[in-house]
Amino acid sequence: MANSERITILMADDDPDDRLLVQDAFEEIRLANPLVFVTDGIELMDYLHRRGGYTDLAGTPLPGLILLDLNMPKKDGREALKEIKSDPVLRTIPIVVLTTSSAEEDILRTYDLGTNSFIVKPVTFDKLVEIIRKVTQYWLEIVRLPIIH
Amino acid sequence: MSLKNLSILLLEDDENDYLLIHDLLRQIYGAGFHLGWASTYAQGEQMVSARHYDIFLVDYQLNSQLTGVDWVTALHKKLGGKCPPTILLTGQPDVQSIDKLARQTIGISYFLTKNELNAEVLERTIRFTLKNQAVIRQAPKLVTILMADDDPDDRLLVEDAFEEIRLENPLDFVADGVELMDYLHRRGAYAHLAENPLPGLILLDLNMPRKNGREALHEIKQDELLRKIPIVVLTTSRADEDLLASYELGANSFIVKPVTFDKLVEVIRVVTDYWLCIVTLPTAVTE
Repeated sequence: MANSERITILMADDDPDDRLLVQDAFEEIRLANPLVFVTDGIELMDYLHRRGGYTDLAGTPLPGLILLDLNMPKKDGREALKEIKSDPVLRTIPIVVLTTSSAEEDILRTYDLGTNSFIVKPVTFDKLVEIIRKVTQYWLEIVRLPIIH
Repeated sequence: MSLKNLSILLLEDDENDYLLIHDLLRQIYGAGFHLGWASTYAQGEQMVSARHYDIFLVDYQLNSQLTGVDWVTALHKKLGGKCPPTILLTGQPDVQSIDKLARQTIGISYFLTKNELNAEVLERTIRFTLKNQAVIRQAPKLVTILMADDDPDDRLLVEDAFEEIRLENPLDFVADGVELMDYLHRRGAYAHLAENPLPGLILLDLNMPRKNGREALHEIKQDELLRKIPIVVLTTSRADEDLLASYELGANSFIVKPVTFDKLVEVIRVVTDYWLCIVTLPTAVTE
């Protein structure tokens, strides 16, 4: 799809190992899209509102897809999800919850809050690469994403 | 993938369960399989070094100090990455604690509760396990996919695309937003579905008579139960306002209907692979 290679993907995850693994997975599948990381819900909201450490990004397009961990310090993924999906502008950005949790209550609660998908983080790197490949294929090649400035 | 001459190792200390599994495998594969049966860990270890197995079936409750999970963990240490995927069998009614345990154990792909074991479930679980499904979870259930589209040609094309990719999931159709809401609320012409599970995924056209897709989307996402069901908007519209309005109303994805059948098959393949194999659906709502 046109311009899909310019879409930024934002990942919110407090675990440095998990961030590195996802970055490696992106390299493995040679995805050219910019991949940006934030490490907790406060940073995530600052990034999306272009405030705090992110004021220099004002005027640049918002991410086209957010990969969201649920368990993070300061503000966790559930709270951030609720805030984003209550915001008239930000709510249009698709959010994929990517978490080690497979608890039924997390699955139901996050769909209820408006997550666009819920994916359980795999345990091996090979499977992570496979998941990242399929997730990016789906969202970048098949789906049309909103581009919001 | 060829499932011919599948080689399976069963670790099971109950002979009746061994006979049951053997019988089910015969129903599924005829004579085209090999089943090795180990009734102790030591025996299993010996058998594993003697020949190759494609898959392990391991009973959780063994009549020894080791559980099936310990056995899988020990074998993984021993064989490293060469360990075949494992399906854990359990008679335990506490599905949640087994689910947790299975997820925490490297190498276990699925677990099956013995009371739901039949040829169909076993066959599907083996097939999913060998396809190297990324997500560990309870044996896969076939969720229903519901498509709302007023154009009979489009419905037929999607049905053909499903056949083309050999998807076994039931595919239901409704022709407008009013029918869609009746279907989801199991009322009107759909009252007889009251006991059936809700669809696990909805493919929604935007332009339909009586009640259009936007209105139906709005109604579904206002409903506390129905809002959890993922909705993929599948429309010919390329208008930015439809794209934004759909996401704003809570659509889980927005996809522009491709014009050629080949491309439609590709889209349906990726969409169903994503939602049925990668994503965890809120099946508690739909079962």
